[in-house]
Amino acid sequence: MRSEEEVNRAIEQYSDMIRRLCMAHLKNYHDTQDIFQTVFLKYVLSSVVFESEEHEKAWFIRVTVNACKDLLKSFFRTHVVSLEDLAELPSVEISGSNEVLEAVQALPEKYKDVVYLHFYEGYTAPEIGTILGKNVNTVYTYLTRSKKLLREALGGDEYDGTDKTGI
Amino acid sequence: MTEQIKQAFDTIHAETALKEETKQYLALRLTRRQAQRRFFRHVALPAVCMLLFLISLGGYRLYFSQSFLISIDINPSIELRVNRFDKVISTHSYNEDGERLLHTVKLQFLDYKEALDKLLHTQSITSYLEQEELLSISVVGKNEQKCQEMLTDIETSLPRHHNVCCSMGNQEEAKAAHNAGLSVGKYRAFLKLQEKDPSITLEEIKEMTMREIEERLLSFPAEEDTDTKQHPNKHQHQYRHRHGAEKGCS
Repeated sequence: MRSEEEVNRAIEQYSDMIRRLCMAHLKNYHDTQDIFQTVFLKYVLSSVVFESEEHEKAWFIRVTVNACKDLLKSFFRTHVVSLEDLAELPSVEISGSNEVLEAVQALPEKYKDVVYLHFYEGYTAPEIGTILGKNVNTVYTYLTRSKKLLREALGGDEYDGTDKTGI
Repeated sequence: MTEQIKQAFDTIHAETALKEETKQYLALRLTRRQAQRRFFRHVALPAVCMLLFLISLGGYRLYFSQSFLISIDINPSIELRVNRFDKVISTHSYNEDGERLLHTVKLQFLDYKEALDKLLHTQSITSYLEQEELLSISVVGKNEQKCQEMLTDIETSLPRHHNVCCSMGNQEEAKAAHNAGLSVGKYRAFLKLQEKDPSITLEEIKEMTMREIEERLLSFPAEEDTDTKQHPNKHQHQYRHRHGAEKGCS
């Protein structure tokens, strides 16, 4: 079990990243809270020895993505909507109007992590493949398709710049 | 596009409240977990250990408590203590021949029928039987019905031999026999002989084979009827099961 100092350090270091991943997948604050609790509890109880900071970061990404998937898949979630959530449904979580984030949220579930990890965290397709346990070619396909979808959603040449990976 | 996405995600930060709530949740969970561990370590684990100990002790006592006694006398005079599961839990010898015999054969934890079979095929017993010695097998136990069943089982499993006789004793006899340092079978033979010859002593009986006791008994004139009339209840638990010849159990 990890010490309080270690946990506090991890919360400060990885909260923003986890929050962004949650933002891409989830639509309300309570679910984000659940993911934070699940991920950090797993971290506290985990006996994994991290070889480097990169290793630790990859662990957090993988655990967060899996936790989001589990939450979205859960029977209760897919079949029940609380009155509180129902009231919140029309409102989008994103503060202020950000059409790029809305476009990312509108992407199919399987593209969201890849988009975030590539465009924001700067991971290459093979690195994303390793972190998410996916085939590199699949990652390339996801990136190409998501880029096309984003371009369509955001429209115009404004977003049509080529990125350095040449995808 | 990369820049636009970067800028968009850069606006997202984990709220301070979210971090604090997570820290509080973890603190609560860990405190609860520690309490559970303390409970498990200090209460549940010792309780389970105690329960297992008691179950083991109960099982041990159940297995090693004697329910029946089988006395085998020819000249080796030995007893098998049998538990409720028909297993031999211990053996005891009442003379030097018996002690020597028990050194040559391991009977503990065997089924009593298997143990008897093993005993009767030892060189010691077979040579006594060849010399026309008399083998007496007595069964004693609280449950008379079960004793009767055991006796029947023993009779049917024994090789047909006119020198073998089976009988059933009782708890009082067993207690008195052990106090006198004799096996049940021999003690019963002693009582029988003492009725005819009050001068007979325990020391003399200890040295005699079952055949010698039988011959001493036969040397007295028969008084069966008067004896039974005078003491109608004296041998109410003693049943005789003879194989072949009329002469047999003392």
